[in-house]
Amino acid sequence: MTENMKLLLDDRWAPITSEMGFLETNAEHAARAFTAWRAGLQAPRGIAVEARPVSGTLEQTLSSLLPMTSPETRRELFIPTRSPWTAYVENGWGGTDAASPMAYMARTLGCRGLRVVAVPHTLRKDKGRYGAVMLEVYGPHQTEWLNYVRALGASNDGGRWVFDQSGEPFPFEKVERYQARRVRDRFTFDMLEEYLHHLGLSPFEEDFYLPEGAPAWLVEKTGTFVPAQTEYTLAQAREHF
Amino acid sequence: MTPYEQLFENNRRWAEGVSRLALLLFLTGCAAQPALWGHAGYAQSSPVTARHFPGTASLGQQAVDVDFEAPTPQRAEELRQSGVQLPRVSPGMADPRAHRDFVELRVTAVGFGITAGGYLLYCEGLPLPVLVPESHVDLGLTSAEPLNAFIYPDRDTALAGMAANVPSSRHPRYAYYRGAGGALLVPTLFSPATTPRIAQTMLEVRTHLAQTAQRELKVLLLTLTGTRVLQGVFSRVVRVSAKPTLRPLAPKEARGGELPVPRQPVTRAAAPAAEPVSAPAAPAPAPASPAPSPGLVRALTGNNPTPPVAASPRLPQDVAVNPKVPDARKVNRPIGSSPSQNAQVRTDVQYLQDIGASNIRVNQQQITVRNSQRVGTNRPDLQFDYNGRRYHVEYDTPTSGRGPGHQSRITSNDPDADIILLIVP
Repeated sequence: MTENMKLLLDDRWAPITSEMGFLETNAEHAARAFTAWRAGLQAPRGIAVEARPVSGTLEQTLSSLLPMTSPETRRELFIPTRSPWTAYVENGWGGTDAASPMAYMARTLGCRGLRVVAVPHTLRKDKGRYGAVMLEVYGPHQTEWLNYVRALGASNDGGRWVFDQSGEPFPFEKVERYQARRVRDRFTFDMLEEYLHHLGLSPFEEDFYLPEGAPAWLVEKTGTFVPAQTEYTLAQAREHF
Repeated sequence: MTPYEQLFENNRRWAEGVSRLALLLFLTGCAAQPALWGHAGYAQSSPVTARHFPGTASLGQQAVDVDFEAPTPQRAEELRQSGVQLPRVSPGMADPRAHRDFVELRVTAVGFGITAGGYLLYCEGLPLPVLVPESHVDLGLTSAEPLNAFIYPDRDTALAGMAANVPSSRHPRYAYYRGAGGALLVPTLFSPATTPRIAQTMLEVRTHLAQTAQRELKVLLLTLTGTRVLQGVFSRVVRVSAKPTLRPLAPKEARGGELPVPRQPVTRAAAPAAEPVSAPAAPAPAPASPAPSPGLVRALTGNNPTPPVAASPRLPQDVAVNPKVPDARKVNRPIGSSPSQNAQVRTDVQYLQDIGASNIRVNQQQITVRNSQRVGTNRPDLQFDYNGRRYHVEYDTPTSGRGPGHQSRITSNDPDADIILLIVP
């Protein structure tokens, strides 16, 4: 299933775009609120956090995240879309981690947030990656489990395919597919794409991003990081794909 | 003020609060690992010398760990003869009940034994529960006075100190000493007067036992007076509820204060015989929505209550694991069948989200910081990145005893990781 994914920019920006976050608010609002949150957290460490607009094509905008860093992320990007949603990616060496910031921001901004994961299963011995298709929806209010509204995922959890779901299904979901014999067929990339269309997103299309006149917002940390902090090129991060 | 400025201001205040909390923990907490720190600072009626405050002299602007302890008269005399001048501090600073090692502050759960003849205390930072013999407990004692604020090195010395003081008070007396191999400060008698939170939970656990069918659980435990490992059979464990309020220290309770009317030292033999089961019913256990695990909060403020262990040879299956890292699954999966543990994980995940922790995983195979590589087939209950470090949290029941084994395996797979062992019944 995952081998036929039509991914954003042909997956050239994986792992940055392998996982993305989305907030149902405008980019500047999201970026400034995120900056305020992180600045408050990082100030005691002597690390400053600032936001600035970034213009250009989508690939030029993504370039502003480079180099990638580990173990601490240093740059995050809020990209406007042709929808009420704003995309979120960051420069961590292992790729974007959208779950925590989107869940937190959804709560504090009073909007919906998403975590979208699409990774082709290409693992062959020591090369490639474990496949995953995931969608998590966070809401502004407390639910049965924090503010998690819905979670769906079919992923290879280190050698074994697993299917996860929680929360109430949306009306547009094909719930009968969740009974498929092969675990990896229970939530496919096509289903993810379709569900996201219902939510108003086309995140795997380049022209979904950066409507004219709307810059992206780069949030950057400056200061002294942990001694082990290291920088990587995108090519280095993709070395073992 | 714009909404953004307001949000920033709120977060800045919150972060400052965390920073102050961290400083407070540093300043007041230390002896959770007494073996590492040696003697803590002493409070006495003379000027201070720096060498009795380990960690204070050369740390520049770093916060330091200091607990004030009143020395016994013998120890004070030894120091005086060696030319050491000890500081004079306010009485409250040397109150053993405010010490981070005071058992009342460290306990997380209480169990009651069938065959071992006592209670189990599960304490933060201790790998095994501690046995409190029934002879050290008087659940009917509601009023007592400490002999002084001295911390005796062991129970026998404390009892000898009490016997040496002429009884002249109408109230029963007790003293403090270091128990459980020095890891805890404990009174010579556990009672509502000396350790109200523990006593309340002891009553509760016995009440539960009387009302429900017995289910025997075999556990390993430490003795209160040493570090010997015993095996016992226990039937009920109850989590300790809200923190107690510290009763102000009466002037006569101050260190070195003369106690005009001491009476008999309080021991089980001297105390009135109590019938715990007939005592008033204890309040209900803690509410369903717990606060973030104190051990987790402490660890992230630089004061991990779980002492590190040395790495040992890795298991073959961990060595052989493919280092490729699978994606993080949804975190609202249970870690086990315990509703209270699952509720605690939920609360801890929200806390971690709030403080900007990332790569949070629940019940997935062990990885290193920032998804660098998978290093084991073991599945820590909770793992995450925070400020450039990888943390692993294990939630164990009081009787499982599996925490140290989990810690050892996680450490062997990733010696740079921080491990936090939590006891959640």
